[in-house]
Amino acid sequence: MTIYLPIAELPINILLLLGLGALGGILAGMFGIGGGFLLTPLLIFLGIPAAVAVATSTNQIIASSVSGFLAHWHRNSVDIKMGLFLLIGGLVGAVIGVALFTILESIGQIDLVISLIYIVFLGFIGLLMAIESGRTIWRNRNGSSAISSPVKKGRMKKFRELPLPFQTHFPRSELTVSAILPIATGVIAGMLVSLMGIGGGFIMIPAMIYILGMPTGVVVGTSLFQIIFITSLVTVLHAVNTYSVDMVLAVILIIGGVFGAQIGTAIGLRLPAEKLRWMLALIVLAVCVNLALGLLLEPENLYSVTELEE
Amino acid sequence: MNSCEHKSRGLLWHWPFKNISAIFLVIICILSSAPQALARPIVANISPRSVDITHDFDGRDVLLYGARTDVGRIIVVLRGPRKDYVVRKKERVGGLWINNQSAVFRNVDSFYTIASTHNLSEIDNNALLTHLQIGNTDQLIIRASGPLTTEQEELFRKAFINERVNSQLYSPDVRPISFLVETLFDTTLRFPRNIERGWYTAEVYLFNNGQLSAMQSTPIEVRKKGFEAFMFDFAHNHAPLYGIVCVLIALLSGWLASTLFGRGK
Repeated sequence: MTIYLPIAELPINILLLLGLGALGGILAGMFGIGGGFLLTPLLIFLGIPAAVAVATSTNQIIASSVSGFLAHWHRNSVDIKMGLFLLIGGLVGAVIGVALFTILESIGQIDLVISLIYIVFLGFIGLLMAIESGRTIWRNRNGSSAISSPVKKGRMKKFRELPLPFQTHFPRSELTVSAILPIATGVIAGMLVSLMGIGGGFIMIPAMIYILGMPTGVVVGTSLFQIIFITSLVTVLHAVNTYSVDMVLAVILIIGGVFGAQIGTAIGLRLPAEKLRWMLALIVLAVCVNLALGLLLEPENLYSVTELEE
Repeated sequence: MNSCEHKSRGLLWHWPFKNISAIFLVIICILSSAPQALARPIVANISPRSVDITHDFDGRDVLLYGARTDVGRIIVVLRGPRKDYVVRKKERVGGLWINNQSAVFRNVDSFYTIASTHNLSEIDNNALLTHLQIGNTDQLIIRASGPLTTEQEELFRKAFINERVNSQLYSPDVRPISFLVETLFDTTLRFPRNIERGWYTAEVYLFNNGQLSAMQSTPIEVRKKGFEAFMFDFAHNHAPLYGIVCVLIALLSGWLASTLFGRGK
């Protein structure tokens, strides 16, 4: 069953795309992450142009973020004020990111930059998670009942103690920090959204816990809150600048994702948390290695042809 | 814009009849009345005159047929929208294979296919063929702009033609032209499944003793049809609105999903 994607301009199997969307949804349900970081590279492996893969993943993330956000909203685990400050930075970062994306595409280096950023981030996060969850599993197996991975909130405390202006109180997080910190965090996350086609949750959440010192209960909801707005803006910017959002592809991925999320949630409830993190770490590292090989091995065809748009 | 460029480039005149029986009739009339006074040594038509790309499009044959009233060798070229391309070459830089050198080819046919009654070398006027941009795909003259040596340019030119041949947009073989009788000929040319939309031209040349004795050019349009065309035009002509609709769809389906499944984690 093939369907012609009008923007990617190629025919592709619809079941394959539904499965891919479901895979993203399963990951989202199991691990509570967006799954964009896997979806984008997988779409590229399928032959979809990198620009279309990034822009369309961004569009798809809006849907899964809305579902996730609503669940947190009902449980009152969203710090709207903090979310708004993150959002201000995120919007600026998104605009910078899309401008960078357009420049890189015109000089033919967008694929390289996307791969490199992915390799660095996935490698770093995959290794950290593998080490942390591996240790916990090892400790549990040896009968030690030590509490697994206590959150070391104190580690990055110096960021909060810098003598920065605009000290602001955030009642929901019971926290007073300089407004510059969440805005700067937002700028970086926003740039990554435009360049990588991800929600950026896996960058935002550690930053919110370790740098801003927010209570862990509100970070996921707050990050989802601002991701909805950033991904919406980035989708429109990509649509206007690079014409690379494929609505048909996005709808298929969303449908797959909705069902995948139900499956993922069910699996996630049955498996112990550290085993889940260990599995996720392996997936992340596998994607990272695959991307790295693409840059390190000599390609079959050295030449590529691109049409120049006037 | 493409169509304007096309018209100024080569459209000499149109043959007004749409089917082969009409052509037969006209030719018989002309031949029987005043064969010496015939103004045009070669006439041709192409069918269909437009090709629609739909969701199940899998390429399309087009039939070119016509008549000659003069002796000579016939060449038919079907080629299409001229575009600018950049060819990039990956090189190893610091252990990584990245795009490094590049060459820009401007105003190049994005599609090219050729048919001929004879071996092209029998025309015996290379300068003329080169001038008309007729030849085997590897003989096509495509000039790169940019600071390149002749050798580098040749490599990039070959890479470009290779890419076109591999994606079936340039056909390396010269297709045959068959004769029904001495004067009536036809040939079948093919648009592959990945053909781009735009204006193409079917050019018919008659060569006599190495000289061009007649030429006719007929336009043919390739267009997207139906839902695909609608989406493509929507995304390109109303980009902001298209982006907003994409966002609204995603917002709505996210909300729908959470209502339907009540994700009460």
